[in-house]
Amino acid sequence: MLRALALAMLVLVAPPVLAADLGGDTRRDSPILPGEKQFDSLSRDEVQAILDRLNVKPPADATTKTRLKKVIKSIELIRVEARNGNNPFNAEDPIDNATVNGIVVQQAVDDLNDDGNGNNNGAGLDACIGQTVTGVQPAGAPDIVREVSLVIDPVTLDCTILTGNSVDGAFLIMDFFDGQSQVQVGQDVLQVFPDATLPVWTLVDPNVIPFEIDPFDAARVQQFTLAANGGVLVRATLLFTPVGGTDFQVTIINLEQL
Amino acid sequence: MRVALTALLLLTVATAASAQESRRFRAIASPEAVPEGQEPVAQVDPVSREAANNAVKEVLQAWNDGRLGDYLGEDFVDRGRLLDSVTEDVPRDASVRVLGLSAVQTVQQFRSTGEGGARLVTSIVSANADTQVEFNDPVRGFRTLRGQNTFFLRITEEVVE
Repeated sequence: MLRALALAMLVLVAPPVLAADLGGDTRRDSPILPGEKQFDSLSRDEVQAILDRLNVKPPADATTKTRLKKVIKSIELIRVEARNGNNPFNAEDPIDNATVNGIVVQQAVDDLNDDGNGNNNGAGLDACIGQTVTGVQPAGAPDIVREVSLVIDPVTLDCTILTGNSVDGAFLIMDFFDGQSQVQVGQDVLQVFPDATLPVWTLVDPNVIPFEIDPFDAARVQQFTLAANGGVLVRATLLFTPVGGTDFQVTIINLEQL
Repeated sequence: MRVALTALLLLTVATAASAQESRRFRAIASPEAVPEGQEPVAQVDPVSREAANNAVKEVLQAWNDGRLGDYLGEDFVDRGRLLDSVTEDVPRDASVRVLGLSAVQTVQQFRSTGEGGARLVTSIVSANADTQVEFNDPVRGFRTLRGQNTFFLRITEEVVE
């Protein structure tokens, strides 16, 4: 019984083995070499196995899968993508350039907080005076909206100007709506208002919230006076400039504590 | 009887094993611009991070030494303008250095045959670099201009035995 069962097992197992032997390459001393295209698809070990069978001895310091060495012949810089800050390969000026939020400006990184008077203080209201910023689409907003946020600390009066979304407690938020859109059909509109998310500042002059320039079809200088919760008064003189019907710029002409 | 059971068990295991499949991961082929006289490799052999780091440093050293023209590809946009700007606008004592390098990738690789039948491998390598330009300003003193930039380098290697 057992012998019969063992025989049956042999019959079951043997055919695949025999088939494998018959289908394989029996010329042990002459391995089939891979073609040019096949070569690249082989693993390091497979290539080495073929080389071993061919009795090829690679140099001792070889590093690649074929035990060959690669020596650098030339290096060329073909492109530079500026991410942030200075790009020493800016063709217009390798020194006076900076990328801020993806926008390249022809101004040195350390000049961004300079008011142009040589006092590169980077703090206080002076930090923003003289700066021009182009509005960008805030995260999550429709593509017809461009925003600039002016942030002033009510205690230290340190100033920062941001493109796009503000942080809570911003001094002023400036939203531009492209008039070609279906939301504000007909004409461009600019709205200026203090941040209401965390009401640190209140617009006292003009006493209209939001202050609106409608239509916003020409450059215009506007003055705003804001009061902080602690009683500090700051007057901002800003220049708003429409750009190409779809964007706008803000230039901080002056900021002063009253 | 016990032998028979063992044999049957072995047969079952063997059948299950033969049904398994062992496949390697392969990148999905996509069309790419192939430079004239070159052909893409089937499997990219990445340029090492160390080699890429040295390559970036070499290019920046050329910026410092006024030899940038030797390292700027002919297809670099505004090549001539950049060389003029570096010569005219950059202070003589200005130098740029790498503060850090990250995300080194070999994005494309081609092979070709060079002079005398040399086997060449050309790699397009991208690397994010933190750079800093330093110089003394006669009015404002020592200045440092930091930046983050992605460099795309074409590195050509010769395969030698």
